[in-house]
Amino acid sequence: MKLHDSIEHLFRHEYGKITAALTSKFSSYQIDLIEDAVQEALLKAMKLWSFQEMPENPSAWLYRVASNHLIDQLRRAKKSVEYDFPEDFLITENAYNDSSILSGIKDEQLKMIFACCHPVLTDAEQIMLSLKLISGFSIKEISSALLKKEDAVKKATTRAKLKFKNEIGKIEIPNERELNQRLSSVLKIIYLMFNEGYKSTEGETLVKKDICFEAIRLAEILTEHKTCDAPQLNALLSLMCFNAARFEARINEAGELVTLENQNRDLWDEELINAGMYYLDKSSTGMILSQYHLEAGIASLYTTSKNFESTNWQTILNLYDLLIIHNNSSIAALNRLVVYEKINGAEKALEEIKKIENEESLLSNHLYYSIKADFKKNAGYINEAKELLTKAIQTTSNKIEKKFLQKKLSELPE
Amino acid sequence: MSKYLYLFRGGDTQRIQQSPEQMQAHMQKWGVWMKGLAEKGTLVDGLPLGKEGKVVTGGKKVVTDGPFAEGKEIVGGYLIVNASSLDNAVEISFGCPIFEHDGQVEVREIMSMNM
Repeated sequence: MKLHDSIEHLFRHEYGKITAALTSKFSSYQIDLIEDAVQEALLKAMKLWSFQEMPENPSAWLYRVASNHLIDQLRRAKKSVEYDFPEDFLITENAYNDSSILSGIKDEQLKMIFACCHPVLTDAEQIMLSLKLISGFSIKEISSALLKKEDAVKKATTRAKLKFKNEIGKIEIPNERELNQRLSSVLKIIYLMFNEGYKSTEGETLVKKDICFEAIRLAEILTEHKTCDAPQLNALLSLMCFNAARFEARINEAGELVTLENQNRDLWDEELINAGMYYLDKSSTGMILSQYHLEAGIASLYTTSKNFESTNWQTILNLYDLLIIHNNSSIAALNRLVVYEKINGAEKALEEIKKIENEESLLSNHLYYSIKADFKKNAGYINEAKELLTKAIQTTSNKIEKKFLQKKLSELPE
Repeated sequence: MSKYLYLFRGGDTQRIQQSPEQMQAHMQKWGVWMKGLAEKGTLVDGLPLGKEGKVVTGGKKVVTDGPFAEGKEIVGGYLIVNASSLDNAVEISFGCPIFEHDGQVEVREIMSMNM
């Protein structure tokens, strides 16, 4: 299974591949020079290939130019600082065209994923470094995708890169003893990255969508490695594919948020749904039932039902019950209640929501108010529903969501 | 129909600030523009030029690096096109993606025997 592996993001992906290959060769300590060298190679390529056809193997060409440039810079640096070159740093002319170098890059990308998702870095730093070094995003692209100020991202990345440089050194795939734990934190970062892209926001949808597909791509790189290709990885991939399949349908032409109930299912991406099924199938081996398995199961039921009415609410509810045992987050509890209401009705859902009403994290979440407003509306308490929607509107700063909630409010009867 | 030379200058400052994604997008615009020229039979030849260079001057043939004092003045590439007049050649150059980067195109007629 291989999604979106095309010429479309060639430069971006080559940036990541070559950076990984060179970091693997010269250690994380050289990351600044390495990034410069890759940028230089891409600039050269941009100029040349503006005028001429791309060579048959653009990757090999870029790799050669970047590594030559880097070696040149390292030689210059060697004059002033004592530096040990790796023994095989001189790559022979033939080696560039050697396909083994390029196929080896997959392992090197894997090492780079583990290095960027290293526990010495905070979650936020891991996401930023992964986007910068593996996915070839610029600071500007990262800041617009994460909705952060460019300056703040720049500072944070510099800090993260300093840690990366000094504390990681030789990049490698963790040994088997550590692998499981490291893998689960890598999966967490990939999922966080995906969710950053999946959040509905005004503007910049393109770059956000790119983040979602980068998260999928990183996960796919992991599947190519035998020891990493674990059931929970496939479950995460499945989950991301199902959600990404609905990407386009979530916002209509007027830029308004569309709920699952009203989405045009023809807009759902069939290729991604199929990929979701494929990975879900692949994930159902072994004894591990991860949070991703449950979430993928839920997403698959939502995505594969013919229409909203025929959604299998009971099975979804059962999965949510398991999910909450697994990971008792207030958001999961809230989402569970939405399904619970479909089966048991609004009055009972209002009883249930009391159990989580004291969760502090919910009180700052507009979803809590808007979901409760739905229950109130369905139970016939229109005035209370209005109050809750007004509170929801005050609680979110996202324009698309505000607009959505205002529309809901205006549709309530007098 | 005469041949005209385009000398491309500048745009480097913007170019180095681009992300890989933007570089690729820019490159693809050049590709589309050049392909269009080729299909109409306008395009004769063209290549980019490297950054390094030497200048040989005067009777003493003094060799110097440069003169690349100003980034804007460096010729980054050239193109030869067929056009019916200088104005026509200028008009054709309007489609060049270099203007996205605030670059410059110098348009010159190439002299020929049958004038």
